[in-house]
Amino acid sequence: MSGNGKGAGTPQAVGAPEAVGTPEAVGAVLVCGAGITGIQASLDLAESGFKVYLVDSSPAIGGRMAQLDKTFPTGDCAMCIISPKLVECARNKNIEIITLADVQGISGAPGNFKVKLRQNPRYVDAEKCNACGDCTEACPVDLPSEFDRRLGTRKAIFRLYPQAIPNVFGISKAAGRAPCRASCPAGVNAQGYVALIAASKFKEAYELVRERCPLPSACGRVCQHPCEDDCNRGEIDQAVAVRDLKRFVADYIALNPDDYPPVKAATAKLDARVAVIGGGPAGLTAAYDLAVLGYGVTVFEAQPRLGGMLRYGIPGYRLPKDILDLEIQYILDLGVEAKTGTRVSDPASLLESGFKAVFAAPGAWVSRTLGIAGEDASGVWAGLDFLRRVNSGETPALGSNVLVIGGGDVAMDAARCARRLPGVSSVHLACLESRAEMPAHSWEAAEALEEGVVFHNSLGPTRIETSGEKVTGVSFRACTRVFDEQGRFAPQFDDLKTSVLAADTVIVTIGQGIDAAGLGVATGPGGRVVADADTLATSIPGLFAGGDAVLGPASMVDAMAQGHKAAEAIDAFMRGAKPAQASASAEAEAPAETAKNPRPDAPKQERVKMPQADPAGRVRGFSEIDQGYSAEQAVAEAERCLACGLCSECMQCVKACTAGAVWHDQQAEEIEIDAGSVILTPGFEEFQGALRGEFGHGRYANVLSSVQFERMLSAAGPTGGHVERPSDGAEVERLAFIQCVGSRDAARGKGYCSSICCMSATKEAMVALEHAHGKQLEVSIFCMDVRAFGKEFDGYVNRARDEHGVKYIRAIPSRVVEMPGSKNPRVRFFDQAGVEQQQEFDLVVLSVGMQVPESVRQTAGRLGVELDQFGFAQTERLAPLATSKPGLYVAGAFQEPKDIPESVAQASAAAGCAMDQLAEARGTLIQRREYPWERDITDEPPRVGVFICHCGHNIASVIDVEEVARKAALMPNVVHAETSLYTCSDTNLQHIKDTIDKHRLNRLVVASCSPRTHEVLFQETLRDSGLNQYLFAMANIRDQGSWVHKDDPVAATAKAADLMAMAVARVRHLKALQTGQLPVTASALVLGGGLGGMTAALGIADQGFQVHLVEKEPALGGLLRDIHSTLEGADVAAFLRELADKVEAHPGIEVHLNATPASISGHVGNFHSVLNVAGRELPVSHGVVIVATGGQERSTELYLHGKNPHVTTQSKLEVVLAGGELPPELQGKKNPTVVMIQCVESRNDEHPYCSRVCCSEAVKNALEIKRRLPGANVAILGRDIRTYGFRELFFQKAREEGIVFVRHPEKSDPMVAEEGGRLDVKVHDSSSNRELVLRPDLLVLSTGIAPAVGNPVLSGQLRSALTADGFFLEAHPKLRPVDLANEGEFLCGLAHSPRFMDETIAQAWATVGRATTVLSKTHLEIPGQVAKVDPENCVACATCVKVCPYGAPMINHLGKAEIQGAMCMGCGSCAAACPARTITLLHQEDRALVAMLDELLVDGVKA
Amino acid sequence: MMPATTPSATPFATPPLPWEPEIIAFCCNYCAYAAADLAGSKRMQYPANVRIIHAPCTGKIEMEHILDAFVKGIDGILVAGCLEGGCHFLEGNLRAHRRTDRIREMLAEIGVGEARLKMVNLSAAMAPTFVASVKEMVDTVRALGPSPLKEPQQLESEGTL
Repeated sequence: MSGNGKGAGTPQAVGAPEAVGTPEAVGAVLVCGAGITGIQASLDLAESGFKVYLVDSSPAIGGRMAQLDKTFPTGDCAMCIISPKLVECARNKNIEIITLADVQGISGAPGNFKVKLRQNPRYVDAEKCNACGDCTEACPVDLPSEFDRRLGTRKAIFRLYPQAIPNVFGISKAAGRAPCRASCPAGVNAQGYVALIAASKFKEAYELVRERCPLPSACGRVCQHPCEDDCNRGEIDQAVAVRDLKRFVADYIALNPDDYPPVKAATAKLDARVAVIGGGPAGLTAAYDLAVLGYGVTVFEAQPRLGGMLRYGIPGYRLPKDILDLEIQYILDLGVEAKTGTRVSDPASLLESGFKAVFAAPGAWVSRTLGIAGEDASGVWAGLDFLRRVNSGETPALGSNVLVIGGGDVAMDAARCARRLPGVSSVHLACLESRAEMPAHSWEAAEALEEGVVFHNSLGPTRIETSGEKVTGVSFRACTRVFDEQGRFAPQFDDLKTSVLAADTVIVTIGQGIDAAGLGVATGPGGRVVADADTLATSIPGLFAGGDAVLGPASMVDAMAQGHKAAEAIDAFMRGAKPAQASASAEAEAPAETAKNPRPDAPKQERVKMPQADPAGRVRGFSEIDQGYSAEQAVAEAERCLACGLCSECMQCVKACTAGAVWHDQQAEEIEIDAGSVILTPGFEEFQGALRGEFGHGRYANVLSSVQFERMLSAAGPTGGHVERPSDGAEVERLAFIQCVGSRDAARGKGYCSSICCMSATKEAMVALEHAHGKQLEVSIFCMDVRAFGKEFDGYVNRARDEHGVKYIRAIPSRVVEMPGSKNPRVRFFDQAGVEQQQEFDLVVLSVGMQVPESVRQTAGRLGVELDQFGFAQTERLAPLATSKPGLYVAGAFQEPKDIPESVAQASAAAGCAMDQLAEARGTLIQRREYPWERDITDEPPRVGVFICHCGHNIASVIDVEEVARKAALMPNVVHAETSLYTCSDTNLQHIKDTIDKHRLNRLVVASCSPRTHEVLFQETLRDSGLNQYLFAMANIRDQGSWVHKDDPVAATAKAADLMAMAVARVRHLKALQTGQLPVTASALVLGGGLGGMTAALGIADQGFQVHLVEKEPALGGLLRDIHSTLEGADVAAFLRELADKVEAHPGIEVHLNATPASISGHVGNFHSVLNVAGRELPVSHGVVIVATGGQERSTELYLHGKNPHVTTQSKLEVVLAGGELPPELQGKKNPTVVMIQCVESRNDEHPYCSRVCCSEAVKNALEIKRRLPGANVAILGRDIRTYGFRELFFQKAREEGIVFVRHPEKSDPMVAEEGGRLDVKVHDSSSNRELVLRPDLLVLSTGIAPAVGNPVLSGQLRSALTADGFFLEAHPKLRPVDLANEGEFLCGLAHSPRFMDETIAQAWATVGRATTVLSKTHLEIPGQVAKVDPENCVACATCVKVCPYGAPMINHLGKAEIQGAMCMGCGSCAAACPARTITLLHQEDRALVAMLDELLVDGVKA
Repeated sequence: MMPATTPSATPFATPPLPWEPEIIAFCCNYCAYAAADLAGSKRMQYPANVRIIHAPCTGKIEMEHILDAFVKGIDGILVAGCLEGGCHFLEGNLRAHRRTDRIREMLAEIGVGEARLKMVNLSAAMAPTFVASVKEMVDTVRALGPSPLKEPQQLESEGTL
């Protein structure tokens, strides 16, 4: 980092940079979007002395690249190359990663912004989570994995992917609660217990039910289940059988009493007694809750037994009495006292007799009467009396013909009970309502009908007919209407339609009333007790009332809800809180809305039917009808749950997490951040394939999107990398890709080309072929053009086509149809002859294009950044990184669709732009860690401390860690060994430091997890203790032990002991290593004075660093001088003049014209070069080199160029057009013909690469000709038209303007002949499959771009390789696109590959961003693990020089090999290859390895 | 914290166990070691006979050390590096391939058997390949029996592996 803090740079800095931010510029940058683009920008900024806030809305950084399997064209594993960058971000102290956050707004000015963020909850404390994964194992909720694009599932508590950074878990919660849970009056967590049942965790499910339902068996049988009425599954088929599942777990506990989780009452018993009047569900629930809280509770019940209506109202065939008894016993076991057969007439007296509070829930026990003549006759029963007697075990003597009056549930119960009594031969039921209007539950009415009850609907009773005292029947009149228009009960009758039903017994069940007169409290309508709706407080202080007595007759679950409410209110009352402030119940915290169906597309699946006793048999007695689910049935039914709330809040994760990290009630927060600049890198999303309905994505199982297919290819994906058909898992033998789905599609608002799909489809094809391992697999790619325009892309496509047999079919299919039976997708398309073809495949992949997510557009709106017509950030071709808002920069796919290297280049570029703006604040906000003075241990014998980690139970549940520690303690030099629960916890790290001091340890071994994630953490601990960080070794006994040998604890323990012992053996031989420091020369050598070189020079010099700009020509400008306008019409010449003026005027830039480098030597930070400036030698010192040496237009002699005057090139044509003239061939003609031939001397055997720019150049010039001469005929001949990105719009425009594009096949180039001075062009037109003959007045050749002639010489001077095509080879084609293999050397522009101006500008700025990571430091650190030569034995054979990929070894002036530390990457290749064995890779010395082998194979700890 | 029990408390004696293949896997840092980690986080199970040695690059693994391990009685060695063309250090894995090929020839010549040494190429994401390679190596070595270079007492005192 910049050593001198505030100021414009380093001591070598020169010149006053112009406009470098306001005086109070903030040295921090907010990077919005943490895909590979945001990550690269952050790393460059942090390495250059700026504080970075890296913000992303997702729970982890990595973006879309982390989802990829491989990258093109090198086939690199995406995770292999991105993972080190992720870890680097996490470790960098100056990058603050803020995940799950959205930008809300921005204020302030460039250089000093305030950005508001909303930090959404993760529901896991990231500080405490150690990513052991125990929570995921415990979580019962399976959700479709969005990361796998719903091809696989994940848990509700999850990590986006195994390598995710931050490496912590998080929970997905829906915006609202699941409807089942939200609708439960008692607040039972239905989604939670259903999920636990699906995971076969029956005991846990029961525990969860009991938290809010003390009567699960009863509730599981008789609840009216509002949860099922609201269940989202009902929209798809039928609601999940939530109630039956509750019954299942209750029955399970009844059958397995050992699993019964005893509910513990509060340990500190509260010294207060509460009386509950009424032993029904309301009273029992209140009693239970109060007992759990620690109150002494007495229940007074008028009837002989507890249970209320559950016992006396509900028949045993629905709720067996023994089950109810058991359930009530659980409540009594808590210490609840029951006084049955005790009617309380005066509740207030209870308050006087010592009870501190009373809850009155006496129920509704009065049967309503009809109020008609004959009701007092013998044989007329009140419904509740009848039921109470039956349910008490009596057998009331009824007549043989029973008539029940009423249509509710009680009527059904009465009728069905009557049906079961001896002597009853027929049971009829009459009610006011029609069949559809009957208030009874439909299932109960259906069961009554099954049992032989006869219904008579729409009848109103007028009198009960008697004969003497005895009932003989009932007279009825027709009921024409029950409810009025407002739905109120207002029956109307037709007195003329009458009937009589004969009966000797009549049971009246038309409703229940309340007898609350005796309670002494205020009553209201219907005799109901008046109580506060929230607190249930009555007019008497201390007396609370609830249940049916307050609500009127209600359901069991409503009664339980009242019981909960009463208990909460009474608890609050007892604690002295005002009743209105009853402690917040679970319901009070519930979010207002309920969750939507997260899987509306879930396949239909019938509810599992609960078996029932057969109707004929069941009417013979009162045994239970519903037989309950088996465990298999319950699991199958529970699996139908859609998990609407996502997380079910079953709290299993809380129980599983020994670190105490789960934080279910975490809330969102607002954060404000000070940032000098903002870089927008929010990335893209894929087009939703289902919007192209004709291809069947989302409907046909075997049609996938390219992102889904990518996940399928990934070894870490849902199928483990196996390519298979989702419909049946079968092997894929015929695979097709359909290109341009959501790209080049103006009709759907996607007129642009997504740029990457041709290559990504080719890559996916190649990977699929590789995965097929030689098995039959044919791949076809349906496409319009093959747009392989990038570096080394065409070669890749050619290999796919020629060596691997991938077929590129030039057609866009019109439709995909799924074949019945096989489910094979059949693709319909028109072949090149225009004939319709149909082809069947096993799997079809849609190459879906890129688009900007709606959320990103909204963020852009909040930031005030303008978007283009497609929603991408609006930028200019000559300023591709600047948004419309000053101080805000953009990079990556949000700027324009692009691939990874272009995005990474833009990332460094945007970082460079932000640095340029904030240069004066560099280094003001960064942190450096200070360490104590390092202890010299050279003369100390090894004193090793061994720390063995339980990792919760991740390791300790399999491996006997104490045994490993015991063996460690026995090893020589080990002076301390111990185990700990989490070795990496903060407290334990402090303990390690204390232990180092106490035992004067000088070596440390930790046996725990992977060094890839934790080594640096422990090394920091060593440094904090004054020890060198290299005196450390790790044994990975988790990832290589307990996790992979779960079933063999003995072998796993033995292996752990070996790994520990090997680490101890190794650590004894480790030495302290010094990380070297090299001073940095803060100046840059920029080679090339064209667009790239000038841009880079200005970007670097503006930040206060010296620049030597070297140009071989006598003037600045390079190839730019030949370009006059962009496709979009920008004035390039004016831009060039301005740029060159700025460069020449800049005090920090020394321009050397007519100059070339004569020699370049040295290494990063310290190069020493000699320039040849117009024949004079000039030595220069510099810290970095930037290669911007450009390229040139390729010359050609093909197609009569140079022979026929009417044959020209695109650049010559542009010069003429820019001069305002028309070419002479076209002047004065109305309808002249212009033919353009593409790929001249490109994409052939000699020059196999694509020059990228020519298609757009041709379109540009063609459009210009048409603009000036609308009558001109212009034809462009080529194999593909590669107008990628937004350039596609000009291709469309060209076609609209009547410009003809003729596609010809591969290896079938146009033929040009001269006939009598006239040009004659023959070409094979693919679309019509005919030979065309054209007679142009002017023939224009697109000759492409050739590498600069000086490249081979420069390559030798830099020791940097060229590609086979003659361009410079970057360090890594994906992630280091502007770095050369040697540190400190960078490249941009045509030296890299053919490219457009905007791309060169981006790369040039990228070199600025990259170069300043070096220039901004006063010193460079050289890591300790570098190779070292012992010159004694060196014979200067130069093997090391040949082997090293980085040019680190050299033969020095003494004739011995020497490793230049700054260039060594520490791979050890030279050490392994040295024939004299005189090179050592420090920290990997032979003796340490030999000691490990000896330990394992020879010595071993045997006891 | 929990200090280890003192050695005298529970005398430890291993009853002689039947021979189990002893295998070392040299894993390069950027790909193979990462793939082994991934196998762990995905809880993929494989035989416990393998001990991983973490190498910066397969290009660093020297012939002498592989031979040394065989001399000391190892039954099999797996060298696991990046995919070809995917080496973080460009060509280290290619050199390792040439080196292991040469050692395999030597092992064949001296009657140890070339199958006891194998090199695999995998990416950091290819946990299944890592697991399959370990299983295959264990099966191969099990079929071959103990290394002929193993000292008899090494076989007798087996049991800690």
